[in-house]
Amino acid sequence: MNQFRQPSETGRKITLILLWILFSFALPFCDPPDSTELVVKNNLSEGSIAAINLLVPGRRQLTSVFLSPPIAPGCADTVAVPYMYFNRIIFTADNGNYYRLNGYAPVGDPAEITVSLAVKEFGGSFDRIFGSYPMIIRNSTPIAFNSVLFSGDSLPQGNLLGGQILMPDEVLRVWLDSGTTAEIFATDVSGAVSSVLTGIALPVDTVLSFTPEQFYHNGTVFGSENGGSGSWVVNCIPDQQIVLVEAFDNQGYFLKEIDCSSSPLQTWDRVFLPHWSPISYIMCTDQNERTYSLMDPDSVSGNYLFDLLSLDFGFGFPE
Amino acid sequence: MLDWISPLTFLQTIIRVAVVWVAFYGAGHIVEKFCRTRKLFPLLPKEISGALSFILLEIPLSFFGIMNRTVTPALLLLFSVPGMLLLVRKLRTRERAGKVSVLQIIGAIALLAVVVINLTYASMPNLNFDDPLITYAVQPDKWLNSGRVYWIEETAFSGFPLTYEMLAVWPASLSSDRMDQLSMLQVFQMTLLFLALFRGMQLMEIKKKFRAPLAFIVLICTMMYYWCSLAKTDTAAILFCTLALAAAIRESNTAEFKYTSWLLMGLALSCKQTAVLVLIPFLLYSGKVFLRSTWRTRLLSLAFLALVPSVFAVRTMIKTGSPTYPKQPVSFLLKDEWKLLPYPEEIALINDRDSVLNDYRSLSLLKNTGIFLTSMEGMLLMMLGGFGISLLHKSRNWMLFLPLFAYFAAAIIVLWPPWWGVKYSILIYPFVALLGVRSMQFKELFSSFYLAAVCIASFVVPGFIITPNLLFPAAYRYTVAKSIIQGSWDTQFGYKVIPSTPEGNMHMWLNSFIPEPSAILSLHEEKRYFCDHTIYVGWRHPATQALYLDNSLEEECAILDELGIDYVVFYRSDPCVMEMENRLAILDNVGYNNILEPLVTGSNDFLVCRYNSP
Repeated sequence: MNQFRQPSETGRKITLILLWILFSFALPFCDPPDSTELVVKNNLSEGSIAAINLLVPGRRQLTSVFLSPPIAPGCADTVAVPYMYFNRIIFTADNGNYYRLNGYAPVGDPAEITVSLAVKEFGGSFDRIFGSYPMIIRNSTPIAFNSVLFSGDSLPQGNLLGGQILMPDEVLRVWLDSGTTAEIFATDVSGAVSSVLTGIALPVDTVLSFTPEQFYHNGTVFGSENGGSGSWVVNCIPDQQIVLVEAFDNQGYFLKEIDCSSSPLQTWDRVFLPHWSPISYIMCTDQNERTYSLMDPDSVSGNYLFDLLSLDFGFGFPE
Repeated sequence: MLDWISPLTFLQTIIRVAVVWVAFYGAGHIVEKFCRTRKLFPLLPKEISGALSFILLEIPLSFFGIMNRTVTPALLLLFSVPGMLLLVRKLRTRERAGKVSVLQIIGAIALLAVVVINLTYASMPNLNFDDPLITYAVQPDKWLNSGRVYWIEETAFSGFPLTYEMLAVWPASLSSDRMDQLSMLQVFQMTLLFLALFRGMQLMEIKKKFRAPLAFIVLICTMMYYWCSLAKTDTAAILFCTLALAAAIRESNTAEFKYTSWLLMGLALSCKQTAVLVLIPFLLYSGKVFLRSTWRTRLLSLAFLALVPSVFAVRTMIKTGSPTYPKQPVSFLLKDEWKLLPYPEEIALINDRDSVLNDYRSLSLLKNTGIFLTSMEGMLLMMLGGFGISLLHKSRNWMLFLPLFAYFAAAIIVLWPPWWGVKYSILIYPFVALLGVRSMQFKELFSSFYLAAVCIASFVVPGFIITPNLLFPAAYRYTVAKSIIQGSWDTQFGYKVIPSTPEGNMHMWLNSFIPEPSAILSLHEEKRYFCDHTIYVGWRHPATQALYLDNSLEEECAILDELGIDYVVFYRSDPCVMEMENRLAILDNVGYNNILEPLVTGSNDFLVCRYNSP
């Protein structure tokens, strides 16, 4: 049972009017400044900070503040930035390194930020800034990339990763001017070169995913489906050769094997494993007698992609 | 991974741990018969003397390099035969129990339930708690893998007294893999608590009718449930502290002075350094008899107290220069290569439980003390009951409680802040309960009602209402027990099973990927249990701590080169805590063909880098 009386309609209106008057008078006094001063300290051992790039909530466009002259190591400079919360602040150093703070609200007047090795982009995602709109390049292969490059002369040349490695499932955000069309290709750590992907930098997320299909042309195909049932097994293990492929049923009984020892599967080579009954898992052996197992094929391609993480390991004691 | 959720596995674990105890018992009987140890240590339980002889056996086994997973189980099985025969004979000759009341049956059922609940929880490998995976479970594992007890160079913890680790070799030797080994060690820990209670009750002459409720109150305590199921030194120290204090009280009542309590106290000190605080009540209980005895007896008492700890102290001194290492080393004796630097400021801040990072730091002294004392749950009520009765009756000695109060006061001060230090005070918990019951049991009717009330409170309050420190409500304990007994995880109360460690998988991956022994530097993570290779935890090891100072890349690489580091592991997107990265110049050199070359990342962001010396 409700123990409180409902307020009358007149009372509700009076309350709303009073609140409106209160806010009307109070707001001018509470109005935050449009911008604030931010002291940026460079605590890096080398590399001057050349630009500060800001991403505010709800927007995809990056706002860049270029510093002239760049902030040298051990020095500090004051820049004006909008007084608001930032989803991300990315600092560009003139030696090609990027430093990033996620989620930052200026505190104090002036607010202070220290750029040091601790905020370097170590991995997970990397930024490369040539404009304001992001083109997200994802490594959706099981092998790490050591370079990502623009094709053609209209865009910056050279390895976009710098010296970094883009591990599987990691992303590279390349910020370009709106409407820029970019052709991009990647090289993995085994030296295989991908086919070219094309994307346009737009105010919406543009995601380019490099998948194993973009690398298959680097390998040799062994066997063929020929209308029969079976599975494709792909070697996605850098620098390792697969010498034996075996299939097992769900009771662990051996079903089928392909002995590749005379012509081992190199990285990105594929072999067709014919089988008529359902298989539980496939096991591969590399040239060092290490075994790799996969229970399920890749959900996109339906192929069994053997990578470094497919390596068999367990809780056993050393032998 | 989830093999342990199985009634059959659980049963196998219990049987194997029982084999260990039966073997200890059998060996203890043989030792007592042939070495006449009973003359010096009349109160020493057979299984303890057996366990000590098994520890001694590790010396010749190590000498011949046969302390492996074949010889040690064989020895256990061999000694379990006489142990089993002796136990059967003892059970046969035992007096039959008289008339059993309904209440006693209820008590026995409740005790059985709590024993199963504690054992099932202990059988669940705890991969979330670091310490056993850093050193306590690592030492017996590595020793068994190499066939000998040796100084594990990769951790400064090798300098600690290692009685528990040497004891743990035996249950560990019966395991089939590392996960099973962890489960075995945890269940073994819980049985150490059972033994502490069983033998403690005998030493303190607790009446049989009060034993089941007393055991129930101790075992259901949240702190005991959690801490005694971890594969670390605490429960071994609890066992020795309980028996040492109980023996000290017993010895103070006998005309002839004996040395059991002193040996047991020495064993406690050689398990866990915080047992030093238990010396306060121990010396207060033993002091009167000690001072009245002859010089020879006094010297012998002190010699037995120091016997086991000093063996480890000498070993540590030979290796590092200081007998007390790594905690409070004698700095002028310490060899240069073992000199430890202060931890990096970020780690020190995290480790300082009174630092700004801890929400609990604002607790008042009263609240802190409250947490410290009420963590004892039912045992606190037992102590208060015993103390109250002793105060009211002239025939009882209420002064026996003063050493306990002195211990608590000292522990609160030394282990500040108490909300954190309370975990170190569990060494004395079972003894508190024993002393409480011993002091009140002469009032049988009162004790019966009081113990029944405390049993109910110990079950209801922490199980359904509130606990001062750890949270393990009855629903959680029930979930674990039911899951293991039924063979699949029970989701009725919404609890999840999360037994995986991020770095664990990558450590095991490294075991498979690199067959040859390698040296790995871990920038932050400390665990190494699942890794076959040598893992140096950068900020902890004296050989690598200099990395975290302000130095050049060349100096850092020189440190890595000297240790022969092959791989460096850290969390990919955030390698260290807070701003520790700023002092690690090598982290500015991660990349393709660079000094640290990423090789593989686990699904948990844990990265393995190949170290390419420049």
